[in-house]
Amino acid sequence: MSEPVILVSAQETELTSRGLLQRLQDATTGDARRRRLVIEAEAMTFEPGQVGELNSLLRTFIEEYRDSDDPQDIVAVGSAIRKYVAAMPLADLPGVAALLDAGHKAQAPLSVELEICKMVFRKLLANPPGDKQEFPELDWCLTDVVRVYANDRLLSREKYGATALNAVLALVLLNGDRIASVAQQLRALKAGWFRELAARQARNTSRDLMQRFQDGKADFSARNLERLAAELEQSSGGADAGTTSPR
Amino acid sequence: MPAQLLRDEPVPAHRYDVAAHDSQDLPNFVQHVGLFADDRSELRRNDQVPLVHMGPPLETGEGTIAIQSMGTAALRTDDILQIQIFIDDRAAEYEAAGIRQDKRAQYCVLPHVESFQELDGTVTYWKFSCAGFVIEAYRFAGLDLLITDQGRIPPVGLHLLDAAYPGIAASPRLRAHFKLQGDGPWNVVLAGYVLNALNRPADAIRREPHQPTRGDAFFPGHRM
Repeated sequence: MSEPVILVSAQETELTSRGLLQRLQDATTGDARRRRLVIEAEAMTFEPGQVGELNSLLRTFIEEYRDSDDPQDIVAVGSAIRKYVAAMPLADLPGVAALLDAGHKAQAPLSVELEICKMVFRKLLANPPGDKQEFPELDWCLTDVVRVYANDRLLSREKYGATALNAVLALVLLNGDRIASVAQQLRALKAGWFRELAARQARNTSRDLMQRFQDGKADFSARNLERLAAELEQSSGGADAGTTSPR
Repeated sequence: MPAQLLRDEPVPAHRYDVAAHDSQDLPNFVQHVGLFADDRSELRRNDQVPLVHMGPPLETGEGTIAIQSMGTAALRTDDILQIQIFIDDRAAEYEAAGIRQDKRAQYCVLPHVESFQELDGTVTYWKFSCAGFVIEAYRFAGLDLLITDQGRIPPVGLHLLDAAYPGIAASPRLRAHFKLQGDGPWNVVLAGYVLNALNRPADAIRREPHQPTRGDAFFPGHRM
């Protein structure tokens, strides 16, 4: 799997979105070239009519390579996840849950889980769900990520904290009923620094949503985030001062 | 001292303190800033140091860069852990950018931070200038170093801009790529502003952001 990265040719620097889709579909395109095309696709703008085709190709790529132990594949899978989730219509978001499924044949690398949780959060920020919208599969997967990763043994380790933070914020945006249980779990942490960070990000994100959606579309999401922040801030100074050692 | 010129006498630096590299053409003009990747017990002028910084692309301690000054906000362990999450959150975006044909695609000059978005507004990835990366990493951890509202950033002319980005004065195309329209001046957040923001008492750094002035492009800052 570990082939050298093939530099794009002069023609590929002029690659159009249509040309890129054609090359991704071409069965003779090798692994290294396919990775490169996926990475280039992330920074390209596609016509609305091309997004369905693009996302079908990206989904196939993600499912084929997400279990790879080649770091170059995982970089490309990260690109594919970001573009796939960012470009998809909100109605397709529940399908992302299967990518987080811990029961898959192999545990997805943590970096893949991080990109998925991050992009679900970003998708919901751009499309704040209303109180009638339900995403049960995603709700379950994100709850599982928070349950497993938001603990004192893991949070300070590379990528675990970032994955847990994105999962916490996405979960609260998805389902206000989760606020109490998430807050309870975070209050039980000795890692006061993580609770403080989650509260700050929830509050800042809530304010940002209220500014961007002045038509009231984000009121439900903003209220949920504000509630989480308030519940976490109530507990500050409680369980412990965490790791606030001055240097 | 929160910010200082480095000399032959060694000083310590801690992980995610701010490291600065000067222009070779304009004395004391701060050309680049980044974060120390690790603690260093002895740091001298022109030491080659691994940084977490926006090259572009983002580097997380792989290479080294010669530094001439540094600044610290006396970060606590909590701050460091929070900054680490900011870096982890964006690192994969920059790993991809390092492979992409146009590495500048994830760098911005004006504003200091911006996003690449899809049609519905979903952010696919973030872009930063070198100063922008440091400012936003610290903001994420609740430390607002610098006022960055466009109307309150000092205007920068072509001469200083070229010291920050060598070759940009001669290239209208490069300026256009970085959204620097016309002949300037432009309200660009320069690397020196970050270092001068740290050149204050530690409690002031945590209490309020620094208002940059034109002389802050240099360190020590010039009084104009």
